[in-house]
Amino acid sequence: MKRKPTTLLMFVLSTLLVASIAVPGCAPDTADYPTKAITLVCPWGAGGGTDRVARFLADQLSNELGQPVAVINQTGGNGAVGHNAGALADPDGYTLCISTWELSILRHMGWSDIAHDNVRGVAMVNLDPAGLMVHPSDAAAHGWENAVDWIDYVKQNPGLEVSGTGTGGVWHVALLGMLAEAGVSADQVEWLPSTGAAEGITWLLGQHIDAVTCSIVEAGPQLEAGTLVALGTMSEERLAAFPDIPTMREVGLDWQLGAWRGITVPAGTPDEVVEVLHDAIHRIVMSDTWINWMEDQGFGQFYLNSADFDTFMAQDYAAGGALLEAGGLI
Amino acid sequence: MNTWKLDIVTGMGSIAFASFVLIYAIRFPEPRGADFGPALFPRVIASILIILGVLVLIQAWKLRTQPATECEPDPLDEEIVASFHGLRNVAVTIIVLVIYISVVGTIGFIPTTLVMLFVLMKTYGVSVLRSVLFACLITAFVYVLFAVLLRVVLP
Amino acid sequence: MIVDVLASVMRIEVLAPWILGMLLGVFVGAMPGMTATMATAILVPITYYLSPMGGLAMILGTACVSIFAGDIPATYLRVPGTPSSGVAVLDGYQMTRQGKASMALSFDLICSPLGGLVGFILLIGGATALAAIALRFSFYEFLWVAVFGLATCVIISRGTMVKGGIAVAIGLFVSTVGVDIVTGYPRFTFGNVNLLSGVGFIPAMIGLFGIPVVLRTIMTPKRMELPSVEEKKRFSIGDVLPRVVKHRALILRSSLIGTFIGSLPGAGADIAAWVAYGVAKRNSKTPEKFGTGIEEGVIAPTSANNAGVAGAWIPALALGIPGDSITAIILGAAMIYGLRPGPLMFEGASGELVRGIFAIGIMTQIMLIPIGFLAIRAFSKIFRLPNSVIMPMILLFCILGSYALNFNMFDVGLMFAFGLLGFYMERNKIPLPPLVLAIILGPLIERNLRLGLMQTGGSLLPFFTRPISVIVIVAIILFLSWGRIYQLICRLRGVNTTQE
Repeated sequence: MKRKPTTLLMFVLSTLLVASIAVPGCAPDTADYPTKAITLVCPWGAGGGTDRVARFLADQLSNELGQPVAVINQTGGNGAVGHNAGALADPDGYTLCISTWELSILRHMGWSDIAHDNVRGVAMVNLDPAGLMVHPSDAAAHGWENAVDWIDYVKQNPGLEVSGTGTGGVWHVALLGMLAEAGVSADQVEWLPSTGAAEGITWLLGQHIDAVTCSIVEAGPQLEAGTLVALGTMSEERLAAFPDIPTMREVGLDWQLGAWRGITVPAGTPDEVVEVLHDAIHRIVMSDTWINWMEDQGFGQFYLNSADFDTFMAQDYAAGGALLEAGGLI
Repeated sequence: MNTWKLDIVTGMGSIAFASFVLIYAIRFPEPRGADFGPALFPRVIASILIILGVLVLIQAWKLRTQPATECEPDPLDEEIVASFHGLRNVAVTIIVLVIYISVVGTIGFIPTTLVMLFVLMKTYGVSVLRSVLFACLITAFVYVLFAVLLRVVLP
Repeated sequence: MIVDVLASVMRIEVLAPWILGMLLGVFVGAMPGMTATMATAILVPITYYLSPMGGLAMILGTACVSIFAGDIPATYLRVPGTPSSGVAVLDGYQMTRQGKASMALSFDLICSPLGGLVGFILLIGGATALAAIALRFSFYEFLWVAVFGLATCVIISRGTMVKGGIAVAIGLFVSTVGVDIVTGYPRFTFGNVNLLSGVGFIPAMIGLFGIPVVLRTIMTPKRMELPSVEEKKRFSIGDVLPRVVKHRALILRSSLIGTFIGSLPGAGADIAAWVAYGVAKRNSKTPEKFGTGIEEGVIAPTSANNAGVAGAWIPALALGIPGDSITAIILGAAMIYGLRPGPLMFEGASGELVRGIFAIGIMTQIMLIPIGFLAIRAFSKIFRLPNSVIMPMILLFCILGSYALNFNMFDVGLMFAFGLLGFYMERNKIPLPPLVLAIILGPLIERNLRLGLMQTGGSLLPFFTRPISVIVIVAIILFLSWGRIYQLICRLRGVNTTQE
């Protein structure tokens, strides 16, 4: 009677032990990369925009590469925690990171030492342009039709309150850049820091503040319902989903900014690995599945290859620093 | 330990901690203009904590001279008899957990968890056979639930 | 109309993922650190392969059930499974220690769906109106809501006032760690990147409540042989129903508090549960019994947190602003299927989805009872094992729970640090609940105070003079003293009748 469970136990135990030792046994070899599971670090919380892109891309990537790609959310510190984890991982191509615009300001703001030179770009996959949103009753009362109308009003009535994200966040820099382009000093408006675009939009809906800068997509439901009005988009061309919103350039402001997302690997990752990853991602972003999904979700499609993405990040880093300095934030 | 002695520790600890916060917060940048800076809130809390710490010390001192003070019975207050076995359990638990946390990342989840659960159960007085059985069952259950079903990456 | 809506959800391609989602919710909720948000994010890619209604049912089912299931480990082991079941460790766990675990959980099982029903009915009937009220709330009113929360801290504190104050101060301090949102300056992070976003609430809560239980148990070897949960008598739903009927007013009031707090963007089911508990204690005839395993202490929070989940849908549907991250995910998915939040939400395809969400929400509350019943049965069998087996298991789940949230070993260390703090505090009779609540309230108080002052240029006046602020203050006073006022009215009436 007593022997039976013991044998069974020993069997279970030994199976588990063998299984666990066998898994990490294979050594990484760049020639036939990838040979084991890949981890994709997401510096933002589960369910957010970046997380949704990361999870869909991970799903597609594991089909392309034939290895599981698991998303882990390492959130906190305005993206600092996840970007740190992504940049300081072993440069073997088994830890990727879905980097976001915040990589360009972490070092400037003193939140982390990590910046674009700690990573190698694989490919940029998405860019959501910012917009300037106001309450329709304010727009009607002051005759605001585009961003220049609004800025002219600011010049005469300083002290308007704007929100959209925390201090030094992407939408704050979007506002700073627009004001700098128009030659208006940053202290003519007051930035009320919020925990995110959703909170800023709530305040604007309740008319507790005067404007919100955030991505057009994030304000999509309110724009469609007509409870908010967009005065301009900070993109190169008008958006397909919102063709009525003028671009900044149309009204004479040479200013573009969007929150970008792209896949990065730690600096020092071998060229062959980057190439394999880039080719897989390139095939994905060109596929109908990807294009349709991005369109359904309202994400802006924007692709850059590895070399262009590296250049882009370096430029963005320099531009972000200059704007934060001009805004008196650093 | 008597309540009043622990109270002294609490009071001293609160005051020391709050003083540290006050000194550390000196480094925080001053706000521009009329805004209220990042140091305001921690300073207010730390000041309140110092006052509360002093009050606890005073109360403790009174308790010392009047040991028969009736206290409200605490529902969580239970008898802890400091015994050799009990202290050994705590010591082993702490050592095992420290080792577990430091090696689980390198050796892998399944073997470390198996060993951790086995050692703890054995220490707490479970028979060898049952320890092995439960260690395997729990590890297998957790692995299936987290890693397979929910696709959560384990350490 | 109702028949049409029911017909649209009572189909196999909706029911199958729905029930699967609810079963998943049991595990997610009962596992500390596995949040409903995480489960929802994992489910979203799966819903692409389902019908729109099936996908919505699966996610909603998971989210609703997990809030209830969070009470199970909180009641049995004093380890909250979800942030909003933190209150269940107070009276629920005390009932377990008195051998009445099944009674506490039966209350949870009945009152959770009742709270959820009240929340969904309010959502259906008054989403637009309630959302309009929520919109009127500015920094000033949010500060008052937070002050209401602080008042709750005082009410729920046991023991001396000074020690309760110390707990609140420590909690508020913990909440200041991390990047200051107003200036972007990292406070008390000591150069550690893991602290930039502050101290994780879930690791702190798991550590504070869970670890002291383990430490106390393993210190007394004679308790190691005993089953970890002993029950003198098994209570079933039938036994507690009359008691539930008796407390109907309490359930309704807690659900209303839960729905309203849940509908405020920025506050959630966790605050709702604490506030409902505080209000119940304040208005009780026997407030001193709260925290010793009293029915009211179980009923109030469990009604409120499920109502809060429904409340989070109010701003989501009426304004397109999600009240919490789960709602955000579901809203995002539903909008692909054609949901149009705002004034037009009941029109056309959007209306079909909205009515579907309502139907699924209400039906989930009803289906929660059999599924929850099975869950309680299953867990009670596990916890009949001796402490010597259960304690290592709790330690493992505490570790996994704090790790899995952010895949970070730092959080595990944090959890143990808070565990030691919790152990010390309980030895010295410093209450833990005010500390936990203060961690949640800290940012709410600091941010709204500072933002309000920024907006007024340093004047405190609007905090008292805005009409809506005054309404909030009056409402808070009414809630806190309802019991007294009611007694007063009764006495006046009594006096009147005798005079006549």
